[in-house]
Amino acid sequence: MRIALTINSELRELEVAPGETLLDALRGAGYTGVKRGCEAGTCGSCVVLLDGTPSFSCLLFAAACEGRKVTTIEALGAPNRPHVIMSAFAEEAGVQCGYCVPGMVLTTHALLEQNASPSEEEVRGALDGHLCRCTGYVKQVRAILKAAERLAEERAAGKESSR
Amino acid sequence: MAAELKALFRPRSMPEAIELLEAHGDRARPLAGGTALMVGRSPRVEVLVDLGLLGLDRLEVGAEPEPGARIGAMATASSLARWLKGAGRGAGLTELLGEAAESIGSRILQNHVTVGGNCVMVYAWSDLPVALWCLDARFVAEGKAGSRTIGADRFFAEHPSHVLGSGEILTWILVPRPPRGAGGAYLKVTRNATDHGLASAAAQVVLGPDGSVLTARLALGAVRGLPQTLPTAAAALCGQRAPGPEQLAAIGRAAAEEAKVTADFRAGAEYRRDLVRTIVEDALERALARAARARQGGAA
Repeated sequence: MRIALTINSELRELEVAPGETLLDALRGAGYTGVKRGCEAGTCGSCVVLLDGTPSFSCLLFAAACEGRKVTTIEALGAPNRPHVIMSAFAEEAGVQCGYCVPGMVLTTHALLEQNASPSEEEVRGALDGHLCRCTGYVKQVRAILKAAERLAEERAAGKESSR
Repeated sequence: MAAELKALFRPRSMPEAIELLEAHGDRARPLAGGTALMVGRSPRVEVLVDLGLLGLDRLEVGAEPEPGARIGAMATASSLARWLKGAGRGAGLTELLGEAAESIGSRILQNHVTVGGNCVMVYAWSDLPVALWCLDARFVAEGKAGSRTIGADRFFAEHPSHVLGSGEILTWILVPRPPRGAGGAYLKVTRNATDHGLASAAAQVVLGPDGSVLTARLALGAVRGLPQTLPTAAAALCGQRAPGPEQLAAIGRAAAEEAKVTADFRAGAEYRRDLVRTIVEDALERALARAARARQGGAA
């Protein structure tokens, strides 16, 4: 069946099987920043934003996402033009094997949209749907707090220059 | 599931949805949050009828004659929890339901799980059925023959998927507004932050003007295949005035005795029984403290 949905601000039409997951549909369409992990809504590697809300793409039927807005890690940045959150993850060594990171960065993005200066506890809470087998989370939490600070500075600087 | 599934329909009206479910009979299932269907794949399910376009995700404060919360079956656990802290405060519910919604798996999973799906596809460890049974919620279902309202005792007497007829869709969950002086709490014990529960308890009490317990309700989850209520232990609390630690410990022991408990790989039956004793006591302590504050201050 053919479905139309917005992926990373671009209207796309995809041919999907009725039982196909959004995870498979996205990876099939070239969005390989979406990672396949547990396929049971436990590990968080497949997280995308669905209308801005962190969601496990392995638990979503692609056909039921028609008309929705999907954001994958590709929308946020790339190695040559990293998003502030991505840079913070790299600088704070919140990346080892990197498999969990695309999902974590998207969840972080959604968190900081809602709450520009989260406490460490709020950051840890927001990450509870993500498993990382490498870092023990400490460095990622540090990276997220750093990203929040930097985004706040950017906003303050932006206000300054627009005056 | 990809291989077995032959069609996914997205009806835009309730009659169309009912018609589709009727037409495909046993091979069809309604699709809500999809977590149960995705993880517990059944080769018998060939057709899904997505309920996502039927406007069933609304959350409303019910007016007289039925004050309380009107929860659309497609509302997610996270939207319910958010609503209860905002516009839903007008429904006057205690903290119990929001605590249950926020204790489901991880926060991201709470964006998927729907209130209706959590109830109809109840598992041993499901949280919202325990809370909603404790709150004596009512369940509105629509089918070819029209709409009917099912009480919680009937809805959870057996697996709710059997209570609903084929082609019948759960549409609304109605939670009555508690009287003045009500307090509630939901507690769950898990091995880690996101695992299924080893035991969970919901407690709701109403205190009279003199501080005596007018009504009490207790429900348990995760200790056997389906949730359960504990009417005997709850009744033992009624009439007591400002029950203290000793009285609550006695109710905890009564709850452990009354509870039907089974063992699985997560925990043995005796350990679970001991958990029941502890969390019923703790949930009641919390509910009573909140009820006392509500009685004094007004707001629950």
